[in-house]
Amino acid sequence: MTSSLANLFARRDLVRELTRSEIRSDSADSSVGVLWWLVDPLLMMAIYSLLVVGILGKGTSVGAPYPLFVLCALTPWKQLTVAVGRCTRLLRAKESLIKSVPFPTIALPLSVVGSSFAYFLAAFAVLTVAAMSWPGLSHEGRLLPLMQLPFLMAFQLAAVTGLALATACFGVLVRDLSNVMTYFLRAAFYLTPALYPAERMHAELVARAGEVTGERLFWLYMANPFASLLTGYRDALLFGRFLEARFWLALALSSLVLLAFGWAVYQHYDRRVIKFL
Amino acid sequence: MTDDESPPLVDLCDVGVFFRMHARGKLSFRQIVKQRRFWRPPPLLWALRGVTLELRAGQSLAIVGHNGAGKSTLCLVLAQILCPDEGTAAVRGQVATLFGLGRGFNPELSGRDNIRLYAAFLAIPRSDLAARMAEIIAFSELEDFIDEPVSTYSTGMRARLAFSVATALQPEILVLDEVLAVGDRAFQRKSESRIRALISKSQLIAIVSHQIDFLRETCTHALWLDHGRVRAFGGAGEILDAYDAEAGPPALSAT
Repeated sequence: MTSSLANLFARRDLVRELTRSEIRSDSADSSVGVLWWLVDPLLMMAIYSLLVVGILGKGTSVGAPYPLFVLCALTPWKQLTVAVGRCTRLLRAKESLIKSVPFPTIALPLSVVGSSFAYFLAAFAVLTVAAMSWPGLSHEGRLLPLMQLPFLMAFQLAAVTGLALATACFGVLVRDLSNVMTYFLRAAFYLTPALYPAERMHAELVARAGEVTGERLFWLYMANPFASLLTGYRDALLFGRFLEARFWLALALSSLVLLAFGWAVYQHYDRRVIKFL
Repeated sequence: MTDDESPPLVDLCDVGVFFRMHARGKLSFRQIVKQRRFWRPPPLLWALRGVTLELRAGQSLAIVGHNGAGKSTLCLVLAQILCPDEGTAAVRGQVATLFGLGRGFNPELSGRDNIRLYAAFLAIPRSDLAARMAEIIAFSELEDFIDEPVSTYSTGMRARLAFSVATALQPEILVLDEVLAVGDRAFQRKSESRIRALISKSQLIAIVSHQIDFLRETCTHALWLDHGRVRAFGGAGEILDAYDAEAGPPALSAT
């Protein structure tokens, strides 16, 4: 049974059951369960805040309290690393299942993305409440920009799905991918405006490479869907403004291209991958 | 008979499946330096080739052959788990496999949750499952443990649970790779009779087995595979006799 859209739709029950079982077994796995998804970004936030604000004495010019600023990046980033990290080993781990039951295997990576997204939503809800009730933020209680959140999340889901589908396939074909992925994601984290604002990178690039080349490099930098995504979350939650139209365009294009790429890779390798397991 | 006019349930046309032999594709460092190339395409091993087969409702197929003849690969093609690399394979109807039972279990979840999950893997509709849940649990004889996590189950208990779910629904096409009987003696008898009931009600069955006597009494047709190719196909009696004659008596025959 191939992983075509028709088969996937016919077996949507399976995707739902798998996602549910992922969520349940995650919470059965540890004593604090779902809370871990809140605790982990908070701990990372504490570490980065201590490093940047406490030791390096920076982070005062980002326009918002630095811990909240970082948390806006860490929460969605965790969904990416968890989904992609688990997908690299996923098909190999489910080898005997794939070889004994006919089902569209794409349900496996999709359920991993789905369950990590559910946790992301829970963590993000807490972040939203914190940002809205934090005194003295520049959003001044404006609620209208929060309307952007569902759209930002939809593009996040698209980008993560695309990347997860591709890594699920490549994880089978390239044996060392899970090791490489750790470093790739770490490097990508620093290349994404997570610990600093995107404008900072813009100013830096223009200052070093000149007006024209700097501007071009900046667009290359923004081709990373998470660059505009994190900027958008901060605009909506912390600054109470709307993400610039050009960044929306960059986000939509890059995340949809990533989704199409991942989908195409999965469709291409779908049944072939089985022989490599 | 209307059977000959209706489209066949299984229609394999010149099917071939190959595997790449990984180890032989690798080059030693010396070879890389000498031959100045880093990679050569690994040789192909055709697990199946040129298999053409038409099966209609009401038939049952025994698949025999030596180890590595391609029997299991053919099962994977019939179950649409593997797509053929050449030729075409059309399978019309709901296929159920009874191999690798319980591989979809999530050990951290309860038996009840796993019934739901495994049923979703096997494409058992939710409405049917709700109606059959009690029967599945009763058949597995695990009423007292059904809300405990499956990780606390013994191997036999897991097998009973998987078997109960896998055989809960009547499929159109049933693929068996080595007929199985699970659990203890009592449960084995129960599962055997359930398999026989499934076999008698399925429209089409394909069975891989080395128990020739079982195949003789169950199957109408037989396919003899030899190194991935069809050696003979025809009525079960005739083919199985020929296979039996060549393969010799079973190793542990009663004296």
